[in-house]
Amino acid sequence: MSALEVRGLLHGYRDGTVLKGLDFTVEAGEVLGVFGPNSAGKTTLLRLVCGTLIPSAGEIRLFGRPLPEWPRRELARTVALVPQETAVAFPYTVLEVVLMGRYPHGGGFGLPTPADLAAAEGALARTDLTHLAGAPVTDLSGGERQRVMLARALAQAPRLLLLDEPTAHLDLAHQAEVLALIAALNRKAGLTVILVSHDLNVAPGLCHRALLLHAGEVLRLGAVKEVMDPALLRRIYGEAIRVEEGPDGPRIFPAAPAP
Amino acid sequence: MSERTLASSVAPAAIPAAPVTARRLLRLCGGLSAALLATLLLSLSAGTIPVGPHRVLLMLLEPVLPLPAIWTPTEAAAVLVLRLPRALLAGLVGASLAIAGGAFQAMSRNPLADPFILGVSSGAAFGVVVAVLLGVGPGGAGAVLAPLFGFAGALLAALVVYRLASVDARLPVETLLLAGVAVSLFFASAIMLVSALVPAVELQGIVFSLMGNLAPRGPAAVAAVAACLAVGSAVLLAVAQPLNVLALGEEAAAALGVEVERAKRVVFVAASLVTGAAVSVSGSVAFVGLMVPHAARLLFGPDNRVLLPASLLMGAIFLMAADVVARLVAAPAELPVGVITAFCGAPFFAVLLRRRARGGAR
Repeated sequence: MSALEVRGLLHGYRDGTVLKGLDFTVEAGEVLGVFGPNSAGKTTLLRLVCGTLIPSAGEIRLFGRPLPEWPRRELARTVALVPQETAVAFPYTVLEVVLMGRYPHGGGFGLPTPADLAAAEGALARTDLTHLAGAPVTDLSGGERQRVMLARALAQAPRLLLLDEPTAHLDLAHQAEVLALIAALNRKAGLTVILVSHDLNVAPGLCHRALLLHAGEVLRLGAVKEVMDPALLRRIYGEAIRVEEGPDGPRIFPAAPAP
Repeated sequence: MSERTLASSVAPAAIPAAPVTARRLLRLCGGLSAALLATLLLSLSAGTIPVGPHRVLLMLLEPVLPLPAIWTPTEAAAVLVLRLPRALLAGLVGASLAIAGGAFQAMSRNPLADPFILGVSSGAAFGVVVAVLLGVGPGGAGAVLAPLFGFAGALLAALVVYRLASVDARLPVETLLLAGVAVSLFFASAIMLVSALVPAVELQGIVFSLMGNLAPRGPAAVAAVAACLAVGSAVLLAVAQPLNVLALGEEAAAALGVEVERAKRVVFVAASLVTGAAVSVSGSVAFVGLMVPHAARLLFGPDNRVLLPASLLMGAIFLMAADVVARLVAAPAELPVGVITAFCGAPFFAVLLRRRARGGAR
């Protein structure tokens, strides 16, 4: 079964159309990378898929069922979103934040059950955060907070994980760490992942397919190699980039300034 | 640099993080209730006619237990007629403002929110003045109507501040404080304007009493405030967990299944209700809603399922104690309790603001 089917998806904000009719499918167990320059409509797409934004037109089906038919909490038990923003307003401990991922599983006052604690502990272990469980999340570095948000999403026990720029604020080593974790979650737990990024270089070795979004339209959808096509990318970025063949696939760089 | 991936900016926590459990909640509320009772006894025994705490306790138990009366009628009058209603009122007002402050802070994700700073107290005070203008007296039905007018004024002010301050569905500190100041000054001026135009002696008295003091009130007024507090805090506790999740940001909370707009509306209405009722009997007492949730957060952590009940009890303790100071410091004259809370609260607020300015956003 497809995890996600998007048909004729159209969305506009008050100041203009952001997505102009998208059609694509994500298979269960797949990692799809959604790439594109700033304001291509990537974040809007994720918001539409997790139901926090209602599309202007078109249809979204999750695991075969149209999105409007999903009750809110059941949807939150199926789809987890890790937004770009990782700031937490008050000094909750890491464990407390991860337990918030259990919100759609609990009821009312939401005192943690043994099942909630087990899910949270598992998520902490998988993200290598167990030793920080009692630390206030506001004391952590950006990279650690990113991992906490990932752990929180894992505690949600979703079938589909949506990641918005998961490496945006990370240094190279932390980027590698987060990407390896996402790959492991997909391979070991079979989690379906949609990852949004402006950085195409995260695709090789992680994404099964890539979708290139430009000005609200699908420019290309296919294998990572097909999408990292220099001619195609120049249509978006002009001459400001160069693409080089690396050991595990092509890489894209900003062009060096003229000497 | 090989250990970098395991290195962390924070030392591993020595104590494992204890999540909220029913037992921890009960223990905490039990402890704070005992402290509240002790503060009540202290408040009842302190004054120009000192009565020992044990005798106060016997006096309170006398209606239910057959005890010998070891006190004079003067002492009984001082404790039961003068001090008890006032202490209860202080406790109710402190509890109301503190739980409202805690809820406003959680909802706005802003630790500087407080009914006084947001202008909600001023709005409530204006509502009470309107009630007086319309002929609602202090006794009888007025005891119930005044809190409702306060509620309406508080809700109006809260909505105006929220509208003015929100930028892209966020409430930045700067705009929130500025909107709060503007709304607060507007309603304070409206009160002054009304009191200048309407030369009713009764109104002058009300305006004075809205400066933040605990003038004696009848049992009906105390009961009305208690009822509003009971309803309001039950509603706020019911949204404690959604408010926790809201700390992750509105987008993340919505994706977790929180009905964000509904939760915010619930806080607006319930926190305005308790604030409005409190202000209708005490005027706008400054900073209680700011300081008490902060202290509770430092002691017990930010989880609203603990923070809100703890703020409620600590607010009652704090204002009851502040009232004792207000009664004693210039005895036999009495200070408005708002003077005491402002003297504590203004420096506290200044320290918080400085700490934020230096980048410590906690």
